[in-house]
Amino acid sequence: MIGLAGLAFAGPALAAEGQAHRDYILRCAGCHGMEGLGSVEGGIPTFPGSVGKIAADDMGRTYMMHVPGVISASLDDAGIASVMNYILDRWSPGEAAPFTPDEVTRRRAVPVADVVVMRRDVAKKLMSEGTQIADYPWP
Amino acid sequence: MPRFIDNLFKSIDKAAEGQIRSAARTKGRRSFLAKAGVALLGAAAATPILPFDRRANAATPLPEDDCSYWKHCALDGNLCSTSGGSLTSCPPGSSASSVSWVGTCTNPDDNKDYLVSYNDCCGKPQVNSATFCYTSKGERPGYRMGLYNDINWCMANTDKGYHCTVSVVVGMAE
Repeated sequence: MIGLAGLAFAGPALAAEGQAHRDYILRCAGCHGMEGLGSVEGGIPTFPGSVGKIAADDMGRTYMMHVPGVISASLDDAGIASVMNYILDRWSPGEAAPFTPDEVTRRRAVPVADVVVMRRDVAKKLMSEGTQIADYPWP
Repeated sequence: MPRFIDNLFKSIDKAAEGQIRSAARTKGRRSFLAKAGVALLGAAAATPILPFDRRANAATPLPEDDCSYWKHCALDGNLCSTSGGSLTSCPPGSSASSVSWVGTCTNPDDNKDYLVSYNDCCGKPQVNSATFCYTSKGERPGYRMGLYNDINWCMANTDKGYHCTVSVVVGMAE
């Protein structure tokens, strides 16, 4: 873990918050929002109550490495791992194991033809285990 | 001696009575009110309420009304401060986009880099006289999807019509 657990976002005054927090704002918050809530109408799933459940599943972890925000973030694998762990620490502390750069490299190498189909598969699998993840209304 | 004082008082009374009766015959009661009113109004208009002239700088544009303002370094759109809103707030009747473009701008005052969120305001037509800026620092072509800003960020809102863009500092980049 990167030691940012429980750190609530309190506006621009907090300067020394680490690279992962800055990367989250610069590369993720535009769509996922400063509070990780996303936008149902925009097709951006919310993090709270959901991202940790996906990250606790093997297929879910591979899915996470192929979502549009990750593949287009222009971050290297270590940077992706840091931001993933920042997100997990902030919105679902303790629910899933942290990512290592090696795991990011390995899962990004897995071919994924259609990430939306993969999300449906993850949601279906988790639902069959009794776990509900964030709504994703887009076809 | 007492007779002299009596006579003096009598003459003062008589003079006063004469003056009052004469004034009552020649001046209407309303003429006093009219003159007193003019005097009061004139005093109010001629006396400045504040010790400076507030009109002096009213026509000077705000720094954020210019595309070169540092917080606008990565902006592509109309300035909300020239569309009826302000640097950080959407004009009345429009709503802030739920997704946005985030850029990094250097504040010349402290030479530090700040993260600035460019939220579009949605749901109203564009203002013809609004200042349009295209700075888009750090933008890359469309095939770098995550670094592409030529997008209507109102796309995730119910009202998808673009109105203007605000520049909100959301963090520090260093």
